[in-house]
Amino acid sequence: MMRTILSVVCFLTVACTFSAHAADSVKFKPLGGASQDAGNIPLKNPEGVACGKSAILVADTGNGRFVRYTLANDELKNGVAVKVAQVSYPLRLKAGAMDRVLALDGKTRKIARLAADGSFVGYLDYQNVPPPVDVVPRSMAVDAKDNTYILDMQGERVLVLDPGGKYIRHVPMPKEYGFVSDLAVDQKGALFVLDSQNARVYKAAPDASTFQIFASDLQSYLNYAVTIDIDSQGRVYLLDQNDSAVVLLGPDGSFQGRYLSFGWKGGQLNSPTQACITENGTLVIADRNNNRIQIFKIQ
Amino acid sequence: MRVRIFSFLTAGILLIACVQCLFAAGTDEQFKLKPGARGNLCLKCHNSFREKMTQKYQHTPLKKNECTGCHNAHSSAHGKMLAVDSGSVCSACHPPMISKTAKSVHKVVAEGGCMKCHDPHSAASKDNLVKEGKLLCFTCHKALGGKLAKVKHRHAPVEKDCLICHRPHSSDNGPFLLKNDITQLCVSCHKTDKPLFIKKHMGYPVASSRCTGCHDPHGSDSSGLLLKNVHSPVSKRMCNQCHEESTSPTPLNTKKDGPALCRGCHNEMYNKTFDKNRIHWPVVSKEGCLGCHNPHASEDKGLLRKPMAQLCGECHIDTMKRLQKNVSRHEPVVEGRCTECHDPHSSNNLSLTRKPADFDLCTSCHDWGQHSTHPIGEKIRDPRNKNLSVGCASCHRTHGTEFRKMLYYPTTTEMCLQCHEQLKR
Repeated sequence: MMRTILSVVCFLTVACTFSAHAADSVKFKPLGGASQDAGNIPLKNPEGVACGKSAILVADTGNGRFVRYTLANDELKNGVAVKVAQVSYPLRLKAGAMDRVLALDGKTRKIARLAADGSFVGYLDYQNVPPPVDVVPRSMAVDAKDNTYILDMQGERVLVLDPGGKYIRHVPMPKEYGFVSDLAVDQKGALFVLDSQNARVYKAAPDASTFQIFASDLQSYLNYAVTIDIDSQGRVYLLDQNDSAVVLLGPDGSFQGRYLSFGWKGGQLNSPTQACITENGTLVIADRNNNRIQIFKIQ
Repeated sequence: MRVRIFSFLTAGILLIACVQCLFAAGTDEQFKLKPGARGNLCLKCHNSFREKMTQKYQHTPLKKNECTGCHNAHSSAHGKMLAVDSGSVCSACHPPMISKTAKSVHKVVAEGGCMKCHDPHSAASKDNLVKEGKLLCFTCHKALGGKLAKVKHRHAPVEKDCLICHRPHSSDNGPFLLKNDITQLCVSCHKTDKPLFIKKHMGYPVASSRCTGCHDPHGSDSSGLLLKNVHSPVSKRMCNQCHEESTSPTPLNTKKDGPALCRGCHNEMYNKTFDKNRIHWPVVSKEGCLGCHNPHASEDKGLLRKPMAQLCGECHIDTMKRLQKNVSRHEPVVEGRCTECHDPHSSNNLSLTRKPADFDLCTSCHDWGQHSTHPIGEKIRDPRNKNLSVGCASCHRTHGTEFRKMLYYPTTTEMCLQCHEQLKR
């Protein structure tokens, strides 16, 4: 009996040590970034970034254009500038299937579909959406099946549309929500929304019709997070715009750490507005008020 | 075994003795007290108290000459040698003043500040109140008292006593310590079926509407006790400009939903708002204009639902929290004049500023840009980050910081050395 108890205690001690070590062991190694395009034209308040399979597309918001970089050997290269007349003020980007990108335009508050080279394909058309039909998108996400998720401000819901834009279902915002800024879908199809005002994350299991609290009481770690991203391991990245940092949550919603800080120098952030994670786990951040894109290796 | 029983019994006896002492069940004889030791003897030194004892209303222990009812005659860890701290001394005899089902609670009661309203010894007013009626309330509610002294029209009950509408400790039935829900309380005096009431409200069935959406329940400069700022159609009694006719089956319904209704009159503003690059997201939320504005009347300019700092702070909680920590604060932020720098609807600038941040915006109030300053402007690059030019926000944080002059660092030297590294010694 005594031997069994001792074994359990030893096992728990070792397990706890390893899990604590795992939480502490995440490191954000700055790899540099980009602050201009291939023609040496500086970026101006870039707000959006999308990690595609072959390229990183940046919403160079202040210049009203996109810049398409390739990420090779941990460096952002090329930087081809693309002007899209239909998207004059790109705010937020999300990568979709076949290297396509969805771009939210601040001026029209419409979502545009862009091809892999950044050219305009068309606006996202919401078909058969139940009232209110005037959808006002604040953000969007794309799942593995290429379904699109729209954070609809007017309808206080997340709309789920098929790749053609046809309505599939919707998930209403949780009752006690404050102001939701962003949403994300993990590899299993679970839906997450970020309540910036209350520093909370809600989760809806695939096909669920309601949100449940995933992580709350994050006020001690967050000032005002604006975007949420999930990596292939299910870890959740919250980008704290007002206090220039990244907060990492575990797949169970537990707080794993707060990384990076406010500043002007390399590796520091000043009002970051969007992040994305590449297939090999590199974190790309639109460091808006520093007029640059920064990349970090997550170790 | 015997030793154990003996120890157990001894401990029991000691415990009982301690409890008896604690509850001071002893008689004067047991304590060998001199006559009057619980009160009258105190007056030998505390002579000025004799005057207190002539007041009309006296606290029961004082009436019985029992100073020891509240004070410890020998020593105390609490002020005024109270037997327990001042926040809980009253509850030793008085039942709790806050109901378990209270909808609203007087803050001072919750904090145990009974003595802010009641004199613990005696007073000229009933219930030992330190002042009579509304004068007592206005001791703390100074702004309201000041306002009521100036306004042309005062609500009749306010002239008499606040307790006609409010409860002093807590209320089970209404917000703001009201005796009942706002509307129910109002209609208990203002009969809604009277012809004058119906006429004044243009025939609209407002009996179940929230009266304080238009009226100030305390007083106002307008005869109808309307709030300071009234929406033009309301002041012109043109309710049907927004609502269906009073004769319709659904008279309180609006003619259009949401912002589409407001657009009918505010078209120019609406077009300007939606023509800009960045929108304040609540504008396009389900609540739309009503998220921030009261459609009928308001005490605040722009028909805001609340004073601006409170209203903006409802969502921008982090900004308000940071502000409290700051040592240096930007004056407009402190005074809740958020819209001095920000456009609350939309803007072409980051953070919805009225002018491009930061030089243009800052110099609209600060004239330092017109005489010699640290080199700033588009051509001066920030040594910390060559992508940036040097501007006001290179050294100062716009809302304020934990350091003086809204600097990012504790000292000016530390701030300067961020860029002028070569001068570091």
